[in-house]
Amino acid sequence: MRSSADTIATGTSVVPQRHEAARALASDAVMLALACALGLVESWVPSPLPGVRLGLANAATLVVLLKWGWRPALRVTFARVLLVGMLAGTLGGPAFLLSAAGAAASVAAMACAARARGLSPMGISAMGAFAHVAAQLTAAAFVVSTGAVVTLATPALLSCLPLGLATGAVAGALISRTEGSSCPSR
Amino acid sequence: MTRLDRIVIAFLLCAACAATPLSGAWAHASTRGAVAVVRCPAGVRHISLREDARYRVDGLAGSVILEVHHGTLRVVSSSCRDKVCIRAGSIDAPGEAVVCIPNGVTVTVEGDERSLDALVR
Repeated sequence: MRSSADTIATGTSVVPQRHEAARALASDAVMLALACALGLVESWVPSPLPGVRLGLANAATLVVLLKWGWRPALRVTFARVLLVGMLAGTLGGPAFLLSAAGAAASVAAMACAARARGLSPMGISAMGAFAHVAAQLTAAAFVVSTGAVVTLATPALLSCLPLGLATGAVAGALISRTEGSSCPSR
Repeated sequence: MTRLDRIVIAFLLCAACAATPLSGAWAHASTRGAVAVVRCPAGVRHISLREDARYRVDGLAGSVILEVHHGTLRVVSSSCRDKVCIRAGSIDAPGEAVVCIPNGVTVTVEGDERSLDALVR
């Protein structure tokens, strides 16, 4: 049987924790919704080369990464990949494998880049885009093992750099616009 | 854009330009020309497509006879029921395969110049 002192102690420590958890959940959900919406907008833009996409959904990842750190960024990214995979019906398929590999590599690269002082969101985003495409190409080489992956490497990697810079600019604008909003402390 | 940004982007540009030549050279070095890989219950076996020959492979439900003729490979006879593997015809291009499911035998042609079946975007 618990003493009354115990209940008071747990009561005071639990409430702020729940508060934090709710905040984290809410902010993750907002950024996840943003990432999915941006991903949808991006699917309307025609792509010049197979596999080359605008990477707008990555802007949401970058905002989360720069504002709140790599853990929430990883959570939001994987939730997005899972959600998009479920909605598109590619969950568990080769396309899903490619997007998961790309997402993991880009979050890892951007987290490392964000630690280096002197890189702007644009530079960080370019590194993320490069890592994303490189990981996707590597995964594709394992899945299909065709020479097309080799041929596609240079054009895909070259075109991802300006697109990554553009995504970084979008993320930078998002961060400066939401500067005053409350951030959960993590 | 900061100075470090420009340095990183210049480095990534160089890496992107080098990607196709480097990975092409690596892919070329890791392939050994026209070879068929036979995976059967007993293990993995490599068959050259350069010499005409017949090979007998023991499967789960009997044996599968493979024939290499003028650089193409086909299943001549198989102990399976439906003979799908025989009707699959002959294969020669890298990436092509003949499979006998009842016998648990797959034959794949290896090589670097593979073509895509289809492109979906």
